[in-house]
Amino acid sequence: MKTSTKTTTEKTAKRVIDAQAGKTMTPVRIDIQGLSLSFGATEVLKEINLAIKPGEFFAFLGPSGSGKSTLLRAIAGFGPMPKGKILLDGRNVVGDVPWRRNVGMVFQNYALWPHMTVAKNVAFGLEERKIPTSAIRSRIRSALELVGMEEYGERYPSQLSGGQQQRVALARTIVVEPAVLLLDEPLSNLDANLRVQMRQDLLKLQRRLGITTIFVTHDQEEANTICDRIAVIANGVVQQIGPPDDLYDNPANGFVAEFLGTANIIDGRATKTAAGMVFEGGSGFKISLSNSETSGAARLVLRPQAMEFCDRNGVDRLSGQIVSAEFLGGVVRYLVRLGGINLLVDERHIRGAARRRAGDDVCLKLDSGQAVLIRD
Amino acid sequence: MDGLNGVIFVQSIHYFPFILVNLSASLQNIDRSMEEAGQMLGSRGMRLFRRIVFPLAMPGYIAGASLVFVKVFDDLGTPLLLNVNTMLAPQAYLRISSIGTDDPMGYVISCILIAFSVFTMWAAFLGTRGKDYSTLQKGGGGLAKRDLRPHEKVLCYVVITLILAIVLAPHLGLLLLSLGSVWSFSVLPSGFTFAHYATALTSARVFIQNTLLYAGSAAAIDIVLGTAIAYLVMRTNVIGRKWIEHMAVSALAVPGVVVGIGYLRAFYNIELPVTGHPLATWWGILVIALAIRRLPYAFRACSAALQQVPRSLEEAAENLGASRVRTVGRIVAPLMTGGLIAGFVTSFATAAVELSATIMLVSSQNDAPLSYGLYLFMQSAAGRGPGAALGVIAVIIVGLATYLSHRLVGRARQRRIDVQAAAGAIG
Repeated sequence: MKTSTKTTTEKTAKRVIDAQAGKTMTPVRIDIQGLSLSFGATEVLKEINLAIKPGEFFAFLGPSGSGKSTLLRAIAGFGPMPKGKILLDGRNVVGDVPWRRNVGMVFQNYALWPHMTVAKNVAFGLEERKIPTSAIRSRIRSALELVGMEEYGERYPSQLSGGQQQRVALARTIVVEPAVLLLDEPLSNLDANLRVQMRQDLLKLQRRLGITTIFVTHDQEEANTICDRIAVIANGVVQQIGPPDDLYDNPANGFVAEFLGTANIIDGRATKTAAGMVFEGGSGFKISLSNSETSGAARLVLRPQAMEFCDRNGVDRLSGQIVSAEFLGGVVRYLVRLGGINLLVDERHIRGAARRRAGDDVCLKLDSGQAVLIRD
Repeated sequence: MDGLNGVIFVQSIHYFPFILVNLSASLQNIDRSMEEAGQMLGSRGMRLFRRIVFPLAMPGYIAGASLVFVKVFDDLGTPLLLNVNTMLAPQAYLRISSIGTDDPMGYVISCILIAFSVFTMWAAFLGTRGKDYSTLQKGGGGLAKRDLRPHEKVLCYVVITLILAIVLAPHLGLLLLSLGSVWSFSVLPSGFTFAHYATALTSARVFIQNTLLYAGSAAAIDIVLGTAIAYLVMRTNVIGRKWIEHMAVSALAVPGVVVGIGYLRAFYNIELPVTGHPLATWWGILVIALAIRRLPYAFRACSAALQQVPRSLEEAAENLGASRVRTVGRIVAPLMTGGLIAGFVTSFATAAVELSATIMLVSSQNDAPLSYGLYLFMQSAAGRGPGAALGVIAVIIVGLATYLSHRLVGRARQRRIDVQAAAGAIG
């Protein structure tokens, strides 16, 4: 048993060094099947089913209290024992203690031990695996080099900035070559500029190591920019899984539509007419739909950029009044009242252009190809 | 068990809660993720405790241990009651009380006592310097609770019961002694009576009255001084404010017997205007000595209470037109109330059972507080029963005060959460 542990850890030691040389790790597949978890009487996760491909950079995205961090912690082996299965390359790890899972986690607050230097923090996992001292030294150096912190080995965590602490936490986690890398809102404690830089660094590192990674965030921009696929979670339920652009373009329900960017959601009915399928939202709001849609009560999702101001009424054109305007930099976002419906409409901002004023009569051209019908 | 072993045993039991409270607070400050990060990297059990949990809790342990060391050094009552006089504190007392205020040895011993106390606090400071880990851990809230296996639960209960039995044995013994009519050579007293309580409440009523007066006055002085110093230190730029803070806290390093000897020496030759008695024998000096002794506790309570009032709340009041004084009166003081009362209760309870300084400054039985009365009763075999009854009364007073203090601290904590939420909304 001891020999096999030693062989595994030596193999992992080599992997970090290989990663530096541009070689990748053997990635692991994660399958979560029928996973439920409760804190007392409160059900926090409800029948979660999802599959993460080997080497994928996957995000759990959701508002606070949605259960995303609880799900991540369940994969790491922390918190109450869940029902269901968590399979790492087919091996169910539910019930295994955290130190037997070989799952690495970077905590939201980094959890660097303040009584140890950076080098000692990074060495910890290797010492626990009984790696020879000489090998530990070289692996600490390799791991710190990988995150650009090779100069800081003798410093204490209190002597580092937030970004540096985050890099050390990352080095401490990857130096033991975990099968899976779990990142619990790792960027939330950094300032805006550093966050943008760090997310790119994270992506580069993940690609370099080739390790299956799960990234927990409540920030859709973070998830959209670096993750291959996203699971949107709310109230302990996976709402939708898919690549970022697919989730944005084809939200499965109102929650996903509103959580991933701004959306106008209009209640109404899809009706078959002589001219084809039409969505009617009341107060004269009407937009043509694809003929593949079926009749019945539905909700229409229209992104603010799916409409534009036009000169006169016509098919899929409606008249309304400007209520208010917000300057967002690249675009001006108008609130337009169409009968009893309020719609947010983006108009590209051109340098020096005059802004439309509240009370102005406008005509809106709706792009029916951009409209999404949801039935939740 | 008597002699030095008895003193060690009694003091171990007596001061065990100081370590417990400090260590509990320290463990409470450790973020759960600190332990989880260790587990995730392969550590567990005793190894995890030794490498992660214990080093992080170490500052609390050192703080508790140094406090206990200083207090044990300072303790006069235990060795005197157990008739162990070959220790520094009893020697200082006996030199002055038996030979007189002019005996230099009493002062030499006092200096040695102070030197040891200061050295201990300095060593504790060095040991904990740069190790206030709680501020580096962003979460806090304590380690994850474990689900123990049945045999582990049994083991825990056995150990805790054993410790409780040892810790509570003296209290039980005191209770039985206070209720026993005759008690010798048997496990339990031969008969029970409330006569000792009647004696304690009649002949010792003056001790109780004096205690309430002295400890109450000392605690009131402490709260006023503590609030003023806390405000100066935390809310103003007065030059030398750090020194004022150090002076307020430095009383911790001065043993009670030394404070008593110091006051005795300083005011013995000054006569009171009307009576012609030495100023040192006036009960007011005792109140001042107790106030100085308990000032560090009150100061800490006041600082904590003031810290709970974010500056932004004061700024909001000033911004709406309230003057500095009005702001303190209408905003700061009401928000500090819970903490101040907790500080008052703590100072009161600890001053009520103070013997070290009291024993040096009490000139007559009519001026003696409860702790001194208890000591007097215990000097004779006939007085043991009423003495024990007086002891039970003291335990009840301190117990009630501690309970009250905990309730108030709990309420103050809730208020702090509310205040921070309000301040957050302002920010």
